[in-house]
Amino acid sequence: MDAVFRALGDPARRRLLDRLNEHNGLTLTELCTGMGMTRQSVTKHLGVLESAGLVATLRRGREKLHYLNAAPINDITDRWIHHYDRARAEALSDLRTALEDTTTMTTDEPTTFVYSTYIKASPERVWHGLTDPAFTTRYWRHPSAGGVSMSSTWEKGATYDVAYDTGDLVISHPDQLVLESDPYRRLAYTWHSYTPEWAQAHGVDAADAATWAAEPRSKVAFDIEEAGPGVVKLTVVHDGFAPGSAQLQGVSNGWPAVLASMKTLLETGSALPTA
Amino acid sequence: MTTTALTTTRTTATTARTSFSYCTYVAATPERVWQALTDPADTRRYWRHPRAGGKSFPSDWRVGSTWDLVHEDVGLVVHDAAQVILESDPHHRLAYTWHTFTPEWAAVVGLGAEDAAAWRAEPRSKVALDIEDEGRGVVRLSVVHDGFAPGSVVLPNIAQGWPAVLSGLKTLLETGSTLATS
Repeated sequence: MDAVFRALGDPARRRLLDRLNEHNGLTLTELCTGMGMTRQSVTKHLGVLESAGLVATLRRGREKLHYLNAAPINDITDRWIHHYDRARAEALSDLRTALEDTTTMTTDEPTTFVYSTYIKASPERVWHGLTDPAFTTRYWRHPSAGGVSMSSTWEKGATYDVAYDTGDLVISHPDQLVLESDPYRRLAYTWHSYTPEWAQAHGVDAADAATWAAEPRSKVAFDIEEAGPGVVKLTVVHDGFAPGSAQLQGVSNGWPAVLASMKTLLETGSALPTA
Repeated sequence: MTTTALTTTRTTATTARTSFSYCTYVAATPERVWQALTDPADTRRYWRHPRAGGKSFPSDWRVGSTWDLVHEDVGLVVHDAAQVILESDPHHRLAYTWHTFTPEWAAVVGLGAEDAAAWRAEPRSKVALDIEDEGRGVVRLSVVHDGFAPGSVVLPNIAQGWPAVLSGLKTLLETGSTLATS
């Protein structure tokens, strides 16, 4: 806990945490912008924050992304704030969040899903596995809605549609956008809309679907890295969820099954059997 | 909301940062997955360290028994009376305390003495593996590795390791071959 207090006892480091609170997952260069100090100083401050456990990093190719980890601050709260006071403090904090209508992270709830898997395949094949309907319809399947196919040029700024191979459901929205596209290395897009038709096809209760639809649109990023001879590491970071997000729960359950089936398809030629 | 409910909610949220959870789906029977997790003939093929080679975990896998960590390629055995099987329900659930980070282990895996001392100073973590039969020949294998202190330096390393280990297990059971991650 000493390390946490030491780390927090510096205005520059608190500003870095504020920056990550506003926008999680920044690179060193992005964090340096507007800090008015040298890259070396920012690196040093980040090192202090990281060893106190307040900042976690994730490698993306040559870049290192920085994420706020509020758990140590939470532990301080847990130690000195009585449960009842904490309930009040939380209620106030929830109220403030609601009033400000921001999607800023509160201190204790995960707003990001991160998952990695290793696949015996080339980066090219994994890229096709993520974007080509000939693959996705086979491994990315819902028991009632069927296999997913996404159509897009997969160029930055392009939109994409989601269709299913059973029925005629198509989900289109001008905000379903490709955010980053570096073929065979990185792909990022905003998540699809949760329309009433989507809910119906997936057997999701209308009230639940409305809750999902009211949440901010999330985004997903895929990183493909070589991790050994003929082996690729695929990392999925799905973020932009509001604290307490119901969508986050849903995608956290979904991704491991989707990616496990994709791995099986690419390695064996057939996907995992679905219900 | 009652205090208990509140505390439970918060504990769950905080757990996300002092534990690591991961799951995957494997086309295999629960029996085969259990064997892959416990039988040295399997583990040494997919559970490998780039420097220290394949691992095996000799144990009778009964609650209260100890387990050893063995790197046969380099002749290393990590034995400690605190490496204990906590739960053992064959083909369903296995839980054990994690191994000790001995100086000999650190030397073999290439971890500096100072880092190794820091790892050793942390509380001993524990791992639980759950095998659930999904039907249709598919098993859901999940791991919860917890008991880390906030700000643990071991946790990020564990979090890097499990996806590679379980990806390797899945590839071995589904294709019969290994996954050469470096």
